[in-house]
Amino acid sequence: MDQAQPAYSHTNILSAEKLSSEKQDRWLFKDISFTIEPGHIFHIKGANGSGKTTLLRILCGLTVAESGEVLWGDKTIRRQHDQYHTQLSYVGHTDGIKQDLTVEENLRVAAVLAQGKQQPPISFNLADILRRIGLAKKKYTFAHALSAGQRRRLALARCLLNDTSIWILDEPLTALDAQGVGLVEDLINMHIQRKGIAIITSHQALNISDAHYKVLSLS
Amino acid sequence: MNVFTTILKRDLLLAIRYRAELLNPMLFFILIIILFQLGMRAKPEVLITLAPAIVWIAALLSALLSLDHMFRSDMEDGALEQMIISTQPTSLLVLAKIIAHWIITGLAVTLVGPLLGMMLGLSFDATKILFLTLLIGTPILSAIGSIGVALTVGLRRGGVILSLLVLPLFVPVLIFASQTVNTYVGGYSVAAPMSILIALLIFSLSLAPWAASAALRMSVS
Repeated sequence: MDQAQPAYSHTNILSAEKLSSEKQDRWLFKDISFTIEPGHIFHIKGANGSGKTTLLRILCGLTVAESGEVLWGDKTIRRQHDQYHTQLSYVGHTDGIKQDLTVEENLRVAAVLAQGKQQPPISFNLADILRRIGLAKKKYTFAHALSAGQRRRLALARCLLNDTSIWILDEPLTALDAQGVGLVEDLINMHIQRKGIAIITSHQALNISDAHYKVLSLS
Repeated sequence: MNVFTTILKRDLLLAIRYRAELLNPMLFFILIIILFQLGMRAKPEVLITLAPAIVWIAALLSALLSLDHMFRSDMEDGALEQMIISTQPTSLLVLAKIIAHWIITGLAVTLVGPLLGMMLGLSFDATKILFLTLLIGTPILSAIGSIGVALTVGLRRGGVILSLLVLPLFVPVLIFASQTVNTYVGGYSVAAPMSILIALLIFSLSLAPWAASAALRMSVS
């Protein structure tokens, strides 16, 4: 099992102020505000089409909200694009994996994208990451030959590349078997112990013991 | 620069592994020119004046055919989102994708074009000029095209709009490139039209990455 790792060097409070978003003349959500402190997990629940993914994309800075702001620390994320994104890992419902690349090639490209501009090139232990997500024997396998659950694990491996303190995961448990779900829970537990922030959407309840667990329901 | 070479390598690797992307534009280019020859009963001297335009129109159409690939698959599998939220400059990523697109499609056209020009009756020296115009002109197509693709990649059926958007912008390249060869065949200096082509190349390669990355941000959101 993983030994305890030190807390992240850059953590901060992530908060949303009166976020609103509409889609095709219908409000998905209106004036929602929340604060997520380091070491907390934020679970967004809601029916299909209730705007969970849109909210996550707004928190990533991919989509602009109709009104409202996302703040990291005391500044809006738009004003600190680079600092915010070096701390962010996002796994969307499209997983960003190229089918015609091997597991290793996919992770190497992701690693280059994840490394910030100012930092020295990040060093990561590929074998160790693959072992932690349970794909140790699949290093040279093409992504199209992986099962849906294995692809999901590969996508989640991106979070481990660059020591990011904010994980935004859209349905991370989809297609995962019981062992895979346990693995994700372990990873999130460790992340939270290191004072990271995890924001997830999921229809399943997560079995996370001592985490500071917050739930937001979108209706 | 690490990120530039990584994306360039990634795109080339994907093209090699998915060969249709590599062969289709090239085959299309050759077929258009052969069909022209079959359909026309022109005298050799008329054919020579038409040859540069025929080769260049074929090059434009084959570029257009392959442009959509530049961002579409990355958009569909979410790789584009990852590029945009990364802290690497998007314009550098776009430049890498433009160069990769040129190597996959433009370079092949540049190498085969002169041979087909010869088939249409151009002299050896004229095909050398044709080669030069293709070498300078086809990267312009990839660069300008990247803006059009970036704007339309968010639409479900962007194909028609892409053609309408991009073809008018290709016209100057077509005019100056085929004019360069015609000027040479007529026995005049090609310095003027060639300089304009080079200027277009520098202009498009230096501005397109910025324009396309701004458009991509809009398309993804």
